[in-house]
Amino acid sequence: MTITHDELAPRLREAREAAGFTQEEVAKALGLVRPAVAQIEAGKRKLSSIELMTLSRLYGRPPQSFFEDPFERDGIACIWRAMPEARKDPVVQRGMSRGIEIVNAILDLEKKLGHSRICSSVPGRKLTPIRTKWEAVIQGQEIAEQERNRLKLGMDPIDNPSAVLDSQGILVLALELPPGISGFTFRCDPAVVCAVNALDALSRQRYSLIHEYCHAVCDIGDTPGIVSWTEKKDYREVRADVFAAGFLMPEEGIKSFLAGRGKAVPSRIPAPRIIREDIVDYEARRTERAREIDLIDVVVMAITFGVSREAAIWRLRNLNLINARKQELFLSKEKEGFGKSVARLFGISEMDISGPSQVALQNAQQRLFSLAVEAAEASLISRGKLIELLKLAGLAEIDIFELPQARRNRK
Amino acid sequence: MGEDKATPVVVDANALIDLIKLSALIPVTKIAGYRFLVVEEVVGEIRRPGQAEILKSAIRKCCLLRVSLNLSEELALFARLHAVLGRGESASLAYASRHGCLFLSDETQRAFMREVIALIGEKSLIRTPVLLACAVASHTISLASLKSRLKTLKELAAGPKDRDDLEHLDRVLDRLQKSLEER
Repeated sequence: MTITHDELAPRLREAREAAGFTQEEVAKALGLVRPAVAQIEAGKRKLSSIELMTLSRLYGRPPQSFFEDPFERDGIACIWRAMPEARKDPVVQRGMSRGIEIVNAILDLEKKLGHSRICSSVPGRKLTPIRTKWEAVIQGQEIAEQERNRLKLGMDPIDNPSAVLDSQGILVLALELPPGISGFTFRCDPAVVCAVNALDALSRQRYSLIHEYCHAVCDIGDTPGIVSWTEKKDYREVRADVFAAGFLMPEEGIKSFLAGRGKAVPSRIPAPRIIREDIVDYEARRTERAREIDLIDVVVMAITFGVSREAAIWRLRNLNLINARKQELFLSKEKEGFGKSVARLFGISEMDISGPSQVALQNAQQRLFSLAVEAAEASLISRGKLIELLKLAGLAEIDIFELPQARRNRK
Repeated sequence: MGEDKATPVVVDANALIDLIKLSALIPVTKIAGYRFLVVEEVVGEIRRPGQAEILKSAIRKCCLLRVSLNLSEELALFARLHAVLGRGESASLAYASRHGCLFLSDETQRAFMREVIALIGEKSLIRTPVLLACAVASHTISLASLKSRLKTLKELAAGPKDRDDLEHLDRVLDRLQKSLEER
């Protein structure tokens, strides 16, 4: 049964409040004055379909949801409430809205196609509450190790963290987020979505993604969404940081990497030799200086494990492979730009690049693309809808019309 | 008063673009017995500057009437359709369904046709060749001018969308010619 105009008006108000927007902010998005929004929400002014679509995008809900019974007040809106900064910056707001629209479109297509691929397979963990920073560190370390084991990742560096999350049914988005927010994770039943700040350097995005993965594993059962601030660190954030370090740079993996470079190994290494047809025990000795980890090792380690040099330095210190004095020295040299110069010298500086690196990390757009084409093939959506979805997935017109499904004259 | 008795026709974005490309928009809107409507969403979908200008001019000259959906039942239908159809298609079909209009579109894809048949019936769906045949019959445009325009378009075509559109227009004019020969 269709709802009446009088029933729609309070739903619009509830949706706005759930997303934490003021009437002023909504008026700005609609190109109206604030009293006009108040009138719409009081049922005294009609809403056009264009305005409905703008509100739908702004509040992160499909237009149809305003007319469904029962009316679901919250939906994905919780993530807007958690990030008031994102509502203030129009660029960030557009990016966030687009991300949420992609998620909603994926969920809708999954439903249409009868797929449950998106259902997250991340095990809900029952964890003891963290009371101290030390407990957060211990939990982070343990869970990182358990997760690597569960996922059978061994000790090797992770080439594509996005693929790891994808294998667990987690959608990954890279969005332009306000400075100070490295990412966020939210539940959008049955999916879990992890988003990272596309404006960060690629190495930072990888780290943030695994940090968010920790939230998906540990925290998302208790709360619908969690935002990761670069500066504000509660115990959950500390745990997620330690998790990310341990997951991306496993202790054994680091030690094996360093051993391969003759670093952090004992001064005497067994090196048996054959003398007159006899095997003679022999120990090769390396000087202390040759065994010391230097900044070039840090640069190569950061590239090998796909993390920032700073993260690599901290990890070496946490594993007690360098002392506090050396850590300080490395960090100060890194600040001076030494690490960057070395990386450039070796032609391995691409991880430093800042700016939207969406293709490198996202899986949500790829999923949207494949679902949209599948739905069009099955005649579940029109050609017009397919084109709209492909644009939402980030395809340019020139690429869209290369697809036979998008053409009017399909051969 | 006379205008009210004319049959309203809601025009979808692709048909509108085709008519603009063929320089046939104004001549078509002069066919007696019809008045042509375009929903806001479709206006928003005509983004190429030259085409948008022609559309604006047609609206200014009242050849096309710009309409919007704002009744709650229209909005509900639009929202439901938008889960399956493009934005312009959803708005056009919702409007046509609620206001008893004909719908001008050349789409044939099954998901689209399913909704059209369920909401307005296939008889209320008109195709561009039929409309152009009416325009030729009422001497507001000639087949020769359409063919000449298509030839020019082919010379200017750039990109896969243009090529796709031109292939479609080729078929439109083929059908138009056949229908004129049958008359």
